[in-house]
Amino acid sequence: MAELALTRHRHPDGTPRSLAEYTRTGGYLQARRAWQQLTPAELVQLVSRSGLRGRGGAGFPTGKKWSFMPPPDGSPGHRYLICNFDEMEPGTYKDRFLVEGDPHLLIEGMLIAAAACQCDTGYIFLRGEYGVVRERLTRALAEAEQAGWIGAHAGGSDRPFRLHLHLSAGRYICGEETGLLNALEGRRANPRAKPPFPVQVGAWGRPSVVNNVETLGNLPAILREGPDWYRGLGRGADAGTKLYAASGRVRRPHCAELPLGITLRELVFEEMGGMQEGRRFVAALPGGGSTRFLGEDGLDLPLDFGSLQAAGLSLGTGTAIVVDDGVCPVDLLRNLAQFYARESCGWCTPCREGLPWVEGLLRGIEEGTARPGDLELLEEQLGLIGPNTFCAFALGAVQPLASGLQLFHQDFAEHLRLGRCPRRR
Amino acid sequence: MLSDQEQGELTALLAHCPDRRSLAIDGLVLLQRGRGWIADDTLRELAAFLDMTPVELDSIATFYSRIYRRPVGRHVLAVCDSVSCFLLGGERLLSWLERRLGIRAGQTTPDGLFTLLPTVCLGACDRAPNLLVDERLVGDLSEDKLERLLTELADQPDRLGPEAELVHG
Amino acid sequence: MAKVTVIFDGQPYLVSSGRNLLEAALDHGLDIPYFCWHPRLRSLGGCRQCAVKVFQGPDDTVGRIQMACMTEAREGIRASIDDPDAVRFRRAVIEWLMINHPHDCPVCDEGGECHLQDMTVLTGHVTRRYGGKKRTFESQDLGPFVSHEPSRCIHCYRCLRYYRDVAGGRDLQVLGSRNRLFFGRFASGRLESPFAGNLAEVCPTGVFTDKTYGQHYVRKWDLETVPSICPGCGLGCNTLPGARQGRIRRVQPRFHGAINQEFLCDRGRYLYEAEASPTRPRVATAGGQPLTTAAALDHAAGLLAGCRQVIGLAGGRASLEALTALRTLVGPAGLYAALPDAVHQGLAAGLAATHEGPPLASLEDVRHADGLVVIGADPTGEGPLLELAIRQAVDGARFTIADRLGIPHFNDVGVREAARGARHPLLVLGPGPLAIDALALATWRGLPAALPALTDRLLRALTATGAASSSPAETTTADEEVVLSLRQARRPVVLVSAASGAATVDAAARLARAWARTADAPCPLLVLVPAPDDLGLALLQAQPLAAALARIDAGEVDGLVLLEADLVALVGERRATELTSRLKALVVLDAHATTSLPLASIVLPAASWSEQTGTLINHEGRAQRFFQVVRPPATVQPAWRWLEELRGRTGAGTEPPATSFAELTRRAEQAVPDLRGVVAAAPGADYRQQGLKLPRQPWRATGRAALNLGPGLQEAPPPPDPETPYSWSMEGSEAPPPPALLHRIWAPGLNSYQALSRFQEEAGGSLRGDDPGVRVLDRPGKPDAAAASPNAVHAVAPATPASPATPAGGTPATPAGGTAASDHRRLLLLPRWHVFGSEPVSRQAPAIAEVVAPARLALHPAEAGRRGLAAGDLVTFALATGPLTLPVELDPQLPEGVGVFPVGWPETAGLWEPAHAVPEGEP
Repeated sequence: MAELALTRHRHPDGTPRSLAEYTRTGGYLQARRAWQQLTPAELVQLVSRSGLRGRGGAGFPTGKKWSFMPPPDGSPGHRYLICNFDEMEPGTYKDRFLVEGDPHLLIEGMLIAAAACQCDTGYIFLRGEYGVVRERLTRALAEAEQAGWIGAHAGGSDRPFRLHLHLSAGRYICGEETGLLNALEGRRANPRAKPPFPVQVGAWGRPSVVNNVETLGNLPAILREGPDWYRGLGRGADAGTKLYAASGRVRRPHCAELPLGITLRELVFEEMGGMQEGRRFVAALPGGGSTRFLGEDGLDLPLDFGSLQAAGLSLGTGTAIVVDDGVCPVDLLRNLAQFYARESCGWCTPCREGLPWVEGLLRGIEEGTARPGDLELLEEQLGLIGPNTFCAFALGAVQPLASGLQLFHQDFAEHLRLGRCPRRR
Repeated sequence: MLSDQEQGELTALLAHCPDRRSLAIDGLVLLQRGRGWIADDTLRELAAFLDMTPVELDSIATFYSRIYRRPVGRHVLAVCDSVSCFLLGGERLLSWLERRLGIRAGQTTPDGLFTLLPTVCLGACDRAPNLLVDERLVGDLSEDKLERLLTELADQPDRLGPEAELVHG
Repeated sequence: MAKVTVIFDGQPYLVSSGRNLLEAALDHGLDIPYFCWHPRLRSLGGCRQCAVKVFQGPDDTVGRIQMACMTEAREGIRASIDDPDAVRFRRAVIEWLMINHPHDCPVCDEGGECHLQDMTVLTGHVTRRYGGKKRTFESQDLGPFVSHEPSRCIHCYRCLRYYRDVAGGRDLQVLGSRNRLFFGRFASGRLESPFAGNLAEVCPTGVFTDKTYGQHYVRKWDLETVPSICPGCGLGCNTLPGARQGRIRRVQPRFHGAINQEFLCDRGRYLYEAEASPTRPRVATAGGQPLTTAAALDHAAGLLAGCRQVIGLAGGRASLEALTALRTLVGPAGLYAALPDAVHQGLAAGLAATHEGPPLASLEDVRHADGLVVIGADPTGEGPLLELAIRQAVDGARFTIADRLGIPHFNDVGVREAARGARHPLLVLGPGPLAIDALALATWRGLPAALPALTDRLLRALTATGAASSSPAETTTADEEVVLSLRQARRPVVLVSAASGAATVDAAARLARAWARTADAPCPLLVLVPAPDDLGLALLQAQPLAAALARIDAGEVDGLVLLEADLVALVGERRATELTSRLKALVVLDAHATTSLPLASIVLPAASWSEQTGTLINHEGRAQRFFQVVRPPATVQPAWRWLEELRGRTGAGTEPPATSFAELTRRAEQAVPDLRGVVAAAPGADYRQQGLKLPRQPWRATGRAALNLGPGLQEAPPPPDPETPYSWSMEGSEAPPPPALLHRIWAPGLNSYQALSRFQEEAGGSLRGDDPGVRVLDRPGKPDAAAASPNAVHAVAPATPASPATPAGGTPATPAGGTAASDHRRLLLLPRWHVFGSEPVSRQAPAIAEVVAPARLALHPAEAGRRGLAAGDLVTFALATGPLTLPVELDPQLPEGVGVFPVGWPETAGLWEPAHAVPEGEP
């Protein structure tokens, strides 16, 4: 079995590891080291050397992001570390999987990141629907505070790190870094203008660094085993392991930590046990709702940052949504468009107005009420919306829709020829 | 009027916030947990507590999907209609529930028992199709399972917490 | 300002550095469509309409679409407006915006001057491809000023950003999300901000429109427009009234960079409705009997001829020309100002102070200030737009932070995110509470009598060199922080109300001089005055009211000409009646029905501001010309004409009666050295462009030509206008006029108010050719105080501080100069100016009348409780002006020991200054 950075000690049934269990396997030792022995510069360097890249979808190098945090300038106010636990990407449940089983791993990861970025206050921005996570994290935070890992003497040091749990009231845009900051401050989660960047002007106007759950979860292992070990975990050029998962009609949909760079074929046909009886693999969104479709010809593409980027794709969250031959691809795209149209925050025009139009056009084609030229209109709209919006939300929306339109062009043609969905009577 | 308990809980939360207004969402969530939904009066009371005007708070309340500005039933059924559940028939189950309960998504049954809402991906795609009953996730749904669940819920007087015991969960 | 060169489609353009590409394009009249950008709100980046192609470096031929409003105009940057991708994308944005926009332009009040219409045409979007249903919203009733039609909304966020960030309003927000965004209130109800009317121009389409305009069935292209000056207070905001068929249909702000920019307060915007008030005197009357003009003149001349001594008492609503005519009629020594004594003395003190500096501050000085002290003034009530300027000043601190972080000023969201509500320091000295308190770093509470001492205490603290030298007994730590913060200011401004009296204004002037030394920079002084031509009165050396009354009481004077002033409002009905009984003749000239008309021997109906041309001098000494908008009936004429014709009959003076206002402007200039330059406030009647006059009417685009046709479809020739450069027709020059004559904000293809940028040096900046008007008091080489004209107002000796320094309490309950302790029964009655109600003429405008609150006496609840009074109870005082009975209202923010009454209400006629009184019926 390959070496693991995140789930080595996880209970097979997913029940949460207590503080006692966590510390028994070396838990919080790295937090202690980070706060007591290593300097922030050493920590940043160490994580940079490990090659860790953000696991939230964008894949930005974590050490580099940290290095943008300005050094404390003595100005009054907090420096914030914010954990983005607003896991709302369709098809994605890896962060929930990780923390439900091992809440202290996240807390220790945050302690290490806080030490590196010299943050005194942290927030876990948790999506409100994750009630079980909320209960387990609340317990774990109390345990960690009781044990003195967080609070006035972070990691046993003489400096504080206070960690709070914030529940989101539900909106996909909260996962966008700057939208998240607004939501955290109790405001509408519209994205903010950049510049200023959050490291400069973040939560409550203070320097803030925002990291994904899985990213933070990797930190204890990186410190414990060293950056070179971590680098070596990846199968290709990219470092580490990854929480992969799948959904759709696969036999055993689940989440698993695997070496970064496995192929979609391995993920679907080995790890997930292949397709359900009587279903054929048609395509997959390899990394959640906002990635481009991979057809059968993409099954052997390594699912890592570099390989996918080279193919004009992105790893996203690494949680594949597998499309089988039992669903209508047009209806599938309509469903995807419905999600994005509904979740648009309404800040900028192409996203706010364009996506509902796209949804309507797809619905028309699916339901047989399309007018001549609607397919061309749809293509045109997707081309116009994507790259020209205020934040990356609409770009994410366009990825599956535009690629789906290409991949399933025959289905579209068939719909338009028949004037209805061939699967509907 | 905010109850003493609500006042106390809100005040405790203030300790985490650099300013009162930052508590807007937490405050709405907190009051909704106790009161089921955010009525105009609730909104005014909380706004006053947060030094906000009612419309300033409403601007926030109406932005977020999980803040209810209209009354909801005893149990809120939030059925995932996003892509992973769609692939396993989630939208069809939503339609089935509409027929079964005699209401449209977004409505509440006349007996005040159920509010039916479509919701975005619940992050439990390994157990698709799924829904949230109040705070409790129920996965691997089928029409049969839903039927049994509805019967069971009819006898559940309280909203369900995330780890509530359910026979048919 | 440093300049950079930007390249649009291969052509170089020189623009000021720090601007964005959209501004750069607008500066040069290049058309890039936009919505969310606004000169005062700056860039949002949300509407995505101003997309252009931007190229990176000299070799980039592909380029990338970027929002012009969010892209800094860096030296050498290359962009393309005409790039096909950019054109295509901009067309798409309009198409998206039009998805839900109703096609109700024919019944929309914005139709024909709608920025959305202009931008739709500009981008070439003509065919509707969206086949779905449009989303709609229910409208709200936002009160008598503003109409609401949210279904037309294109979600540019301008209304919210203006209303919240500029006007400080907290009752308008955005609700909902995605493509269901609703901009409005929590529930129907009047928009609380007194600046809500500006939403009509801020909104780029017809969501927020002028409700009064909407009642008139009229389009912009039907309106006859000329420049005017708002008569609603002493600020002299520039306005653009529009009339049709002899009636004003609306007033829009006319941009003035040093005064009101693109804004007006709602008092100023909606007072125009009083022009059509049926109560206005429209024919001359004596004893209730109508008279012809000639008979009236004969009668009035006869009345005055029968008097031993005639004096004139004039109000600040009168134009400089009317005042000059009156001055000629009654002689320089016979001209008196119908100003409350405190206002007159305060104003005199302010003018006297300018001789050794400080200069009088403009609103632009205020907006640019980085430290402000407001003394004894209520900007919101006395000069509402000053509140807006103070808000902009305080909010200006955000740019300091933006500069530190390298965020361009135009990036509004980024700047505000970084600034986090940072504020330039504002210190408010007065009894409070005020609307601007919420903006203030601190408020030092002090009753009116204590303000000079309180101001001097601030002066000592501000000029003390180091903490040690300021007396510890005088200053608290919190106070020290305020002083330290004010000491950082490099563009300080002191604001004071003339109504606070000479001693306080003197103290304010001392503070301004001292602060200027500390800051090593000018510290202008803003002296608020209540009426649009109060400085005209003062500079024409009108004598104080008290002196006039004394002469009448002494029987020395038995003839009074009351010019656009209300004696009853000024001194109260009892005193006015008593004074009138001593007079042989009271000749009243007024455009509006005042409470003094019934006392008059004869009433001569004067033209109102909209019916004549003239000059007004605002609080900063800026002479500005206003032009005739509509023609009054023949029985009405400008006050100056009445007075000159009257003089022709009485034989006073040597000059022949003037036949044009301009002769009187010249006469004023020749009579008083301080008025040198007023003639040049705007070009005169002989001004021609391309050999032509300027047309009041725009091109005829509709059938309005048929409206006034006589038999045989003949059109009557337009009447001549010998007094102004304007014609009463559509004939004339369409070239852009000089700024003082700018009478139409329109450019080809730009029918909306946004055409303004075409007339500015830079989009959002001063008008091309500089902002109009002449500041008469700061001419270079102005004679110093000693050599000044024998100006009566300058002779007022600076008053000594009224009382020894009293420590200012931080709590409202213990104001400095407290009086309650000395006598528990006595209340100090304090006047309060209200946006709606304190100005006499605007009260008569129906929309404003609807929001004028009933007169009340505000008391602290504890004060009321002590006296056994509850809200709504009537309380009566026996005052020199007569009994005053008001219902009580409770205000916990007031200090105890005071009762606050509204100025300008009929119930409070004659009450202008603080007064001690004991409620009747109390032991």
